[in-house]
Amino acid sequence: MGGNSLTMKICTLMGALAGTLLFLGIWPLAQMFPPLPPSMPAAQVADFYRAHQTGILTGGILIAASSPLFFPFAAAIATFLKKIEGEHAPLTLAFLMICAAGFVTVFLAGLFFTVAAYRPDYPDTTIAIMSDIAFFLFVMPAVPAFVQNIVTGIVILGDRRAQPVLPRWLGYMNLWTGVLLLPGLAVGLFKVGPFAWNGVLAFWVPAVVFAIWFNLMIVAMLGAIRRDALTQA
Amino acid sequence: MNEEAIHPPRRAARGHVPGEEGVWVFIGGDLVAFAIFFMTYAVARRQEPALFDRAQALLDRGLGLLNTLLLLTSSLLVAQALAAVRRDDRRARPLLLGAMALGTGFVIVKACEYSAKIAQGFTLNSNDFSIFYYMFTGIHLVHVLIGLGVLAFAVSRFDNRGALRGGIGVIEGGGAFWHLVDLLWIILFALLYLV
Repeated sequence: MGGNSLTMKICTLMGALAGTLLFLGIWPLAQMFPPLPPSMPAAQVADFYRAHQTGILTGGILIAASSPLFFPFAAAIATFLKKIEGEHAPLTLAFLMICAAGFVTVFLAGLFFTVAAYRPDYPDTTIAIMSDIAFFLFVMPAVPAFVQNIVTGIVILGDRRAQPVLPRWLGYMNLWTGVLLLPGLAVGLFKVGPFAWNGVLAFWVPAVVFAIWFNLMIVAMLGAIRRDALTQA
Repeated sequence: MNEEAIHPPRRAARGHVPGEEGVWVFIGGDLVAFAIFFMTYAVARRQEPALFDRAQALLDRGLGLLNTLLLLTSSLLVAQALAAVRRDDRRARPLLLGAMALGTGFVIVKACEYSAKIAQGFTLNSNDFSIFYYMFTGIHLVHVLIGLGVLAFAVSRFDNRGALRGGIGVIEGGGAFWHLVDLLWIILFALLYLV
């Protein structure tokens, strides 16, 4: 099954490419990392978009482009989950739907950054509203990500094989990631403090944890591909 | 399946890690997360010590203490259930059910406490302290609910006569998580209600 494992490897590495594009788009180009404070007045937000127009527009392209590249990565995860679940795989299907919903928001976030920067002569509040939507699209998906991580964790831990398809610690790591993403649920309630969308607990902890999750998933999946976990019983 | 898969080699009594090692990835990670939570709280408190003291005085220490006792007792029952399983005592399952009942009691007390606070006008965005109070205890409450699910799963591993089917790892791992929930509450109680 050499060809098949090559496809799996490429799909897995697409995740790394997508993550890199997303990070380049949001950080050096759009300069939205860390996010603009939610408490920033509309006039200042609008001025930021006017002053960084080119960076935000090119960043928006990379952010939007990264979104579809996450799907082959999710498909590779789903292939492992399907292998674990067997013929009837409700949790794998759930995982796929939740992932699709969660990563579409990345495309939409890129789109709203683009719209906000596109016409600098728009009124301040119009630009600020677009900006708000873009940031909510970035942070609120912590909610589908939470469910996605719990589902992934349950499937990996439900593996009864003597040599599990994916390592069991990865299952626990998924549960842990899910719990830490939870504060993202409440960003709509706050404009300042640790639970606002630029706060320690709603932004920095989930961002770092997501990065750790992402890299460990890739490492564990490449490891499973290397030992042909998909072709074994 | 080879011989080793059917009869895994007994781990040495010395240096035995309760549950499977992966549970500790989760517990360690969770402790790191809560450590960050508590540091954030400490920093915020230093900025407005007077406001935090005033808001803290509004909390019901009696209910907080009651919840501490509920969780501590519940943890004790889980520990005794584990000991019962180890000596093949059939009382393990009722002990776990007792632990679940106490955990459910914690959830009910918390719900009463929340509604009383909200009725007094002490809500999520009342001040910087109330944000920490509701968010930290809320996230901890999610842990309690997950823990109750884990204990329910552990209870389902026993057959009708009260004997454990399968390995002891489920009870050890679930127990370790339940002790974590207990430990986090004790720190939260001290931090939010007392200090």
